[in-house]
Amino acid sequence: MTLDIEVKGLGVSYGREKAVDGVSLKLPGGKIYGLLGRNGSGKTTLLSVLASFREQSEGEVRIGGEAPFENAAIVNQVCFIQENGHIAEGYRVKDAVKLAASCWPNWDEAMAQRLLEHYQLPQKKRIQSLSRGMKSALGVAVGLASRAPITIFDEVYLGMDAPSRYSFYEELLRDYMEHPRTFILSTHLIDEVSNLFEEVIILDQGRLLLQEETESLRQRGVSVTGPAALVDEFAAGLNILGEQRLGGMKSVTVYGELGPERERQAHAQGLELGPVPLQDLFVHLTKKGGGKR
Amino acid sequence: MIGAPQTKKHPAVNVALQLWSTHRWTLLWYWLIFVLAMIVICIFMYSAGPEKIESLDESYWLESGGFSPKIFLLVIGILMTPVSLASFVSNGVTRKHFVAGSTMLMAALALLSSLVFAAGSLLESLVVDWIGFTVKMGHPPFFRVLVEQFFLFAGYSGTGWLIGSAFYRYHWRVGVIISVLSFVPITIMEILADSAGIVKLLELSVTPPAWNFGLSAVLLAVITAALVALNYYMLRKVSIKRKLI
Repeated sequence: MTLDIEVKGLGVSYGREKAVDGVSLKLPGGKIYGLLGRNGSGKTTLLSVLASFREQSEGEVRIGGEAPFENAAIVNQVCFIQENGHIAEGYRVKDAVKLAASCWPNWDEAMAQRLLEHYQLPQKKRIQSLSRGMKSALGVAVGLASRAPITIFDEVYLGMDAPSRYSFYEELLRDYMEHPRTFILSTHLIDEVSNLFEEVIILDQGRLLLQEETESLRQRGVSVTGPAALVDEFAAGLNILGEQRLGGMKSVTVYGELGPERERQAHAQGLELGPVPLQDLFVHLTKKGGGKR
Repeated sequence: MIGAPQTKKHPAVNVALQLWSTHRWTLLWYWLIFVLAMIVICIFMYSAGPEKIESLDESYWLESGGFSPKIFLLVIGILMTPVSLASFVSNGVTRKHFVAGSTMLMAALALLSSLVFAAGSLLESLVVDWIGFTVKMGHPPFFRVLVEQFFLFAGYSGTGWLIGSAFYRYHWRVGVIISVLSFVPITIMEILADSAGIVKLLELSVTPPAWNFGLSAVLLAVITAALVALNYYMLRKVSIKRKLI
C-alpha cells in the first residue's frame, strides 16, 4: 500500500511567527523524497503536520485522500522519527521496541531485532543512558521496522558515525526495493544522501522554493568555467547562482537548462561545462540574497 | 507492496495494556509497602490496649490510611501526559485513543486500589470484633467503601492527570492556575464521600450532605467523568512537544 500526500496552502504559526507559509505540494506514494532547507526553514514543522504531531493553522493536508489529524486510519500509517525521539528516557530499549511493535500494523519484528543487533543496541539499557548515536540507531531501527507506508526520518542519522550512516542508507534502499513505500528524508548531509532521493523538495523561510525530480534538478545546474571575460560574456542574461574567481579564470554556477545551442556555443568558445552537486545547488538557492529562482 | 497488516488490539486497549505493563510493578511495590506499614501501625495501635482503641470512634485504617494512596495516584496522574503522550502519538496512536487507554488504566488502578483498601477496612473490622473490644469503631459496609474509594482514587488520578496535561499544553503560569482549580472537583468529591483527604488537610469544616449513598455515588461518577472529559478537551488538539521527561 502506498499513500499519496497532498498539501494545499499550508500555514503553521507559532504565535505571531509563521513557520510554514502557503506551502502546496503533491507527493505521489512510493518514492523517496529529500526535504531540504536551512535551519528554521520549516522542515520539521511541515513534517510534524504530516505526522499529526501538530495541527496546521491554515490550509489543507490530505494523506490517501483523508485529513490525517486525529484520524486513526491514517496516523498509524505515518511513522515520523526525529533525532531525539519521543520515547520516555526511562524506557529500556526493549520496552521502546515492544511499544512500537504493539502499535504499527505492519511491524517487522525480525527486521527490528536484526537492526538492534546490527547497531549493537543493548536491549536492557535505558534510553537515557544511550549515546546520541545509539539513540539515532534506535530511531532508525524503529522507523524501518515499522514498515509504515509513509516513513519520515528527520535528521535522525546525525548522531550516527559514518559507517552506521552508510549502513542505514543501504538498509533503507534495500527495504525500499523489497517493500516499496514513501520515505521522506530531511537532512543537512545532502551529498551523502542525495543519491537516494527521487524527488527533492526545498523549503526556504517557510515557503516552498522548489519541488523537482532529483535528476531534472541536477541538470538545471551547470558550472561554466573558463577565462573570466569569456565566461562573463557567455553567462550574461543567465540565472547565475554564484561565482568563483581565481586569477584570470572564473567559474559560474548557472541555474536553468542551457539548451543544445548554448552548449555548442560554450564548447566552441572553449568553456568547460560541468555538473553541480545537489548540495551546491541547494546552498546557492537558499543563501540569503541568492540567485533568482 | 507492504504485507497485509497484522491483527492488532484496539489502539485504546493497547495503550491501556502498555501503560499497565509500565506501572504494574510500581503499583505492586507501593501496595506491598503500604499494607505492611499499615499492619505494623495497627499492631502497635491495638497492642496499646482497649483504652486507646475505645477512644477511637472511626476505623483507623479508613481514617489514617486513605490519604497516601490518593497522593500516589495523584502523582501517577500528573506524570501520565508528560511521560507517555508523545511516546504513543509518535507510534501512530491518536490523542483520543491515548485518553481512552489512560482512562482504562486509571480506572483499573483505582479499582485495584479500592479493592485493597476496602479489604483492609473489612479485615480491620473483623480483627476488632475478634479481639472483642467493647466499643466498635464505625465501619461502613464493604461495598460502600469500595464504591466511594474507587471514585475518590479515580478522582485523584484524574486531578493529577489534569495538572500534568495543563503544564504540557499551556504556559506554566496557566498550568499553576489550572492546578489550583483542579482541586475543586476532588474537594467536592471528598465532601460527598465524607472522606479524609484534602478536606482534612485544608482543615475545612464542611458537613456532608445528608443524601443517600446512591445519589452520592452518581454524583461521584459524574465528577469523575467530567475530569476525564476535561483531560480529553485539553489533549485533543495538543501539539506533541520535544521530550520533557
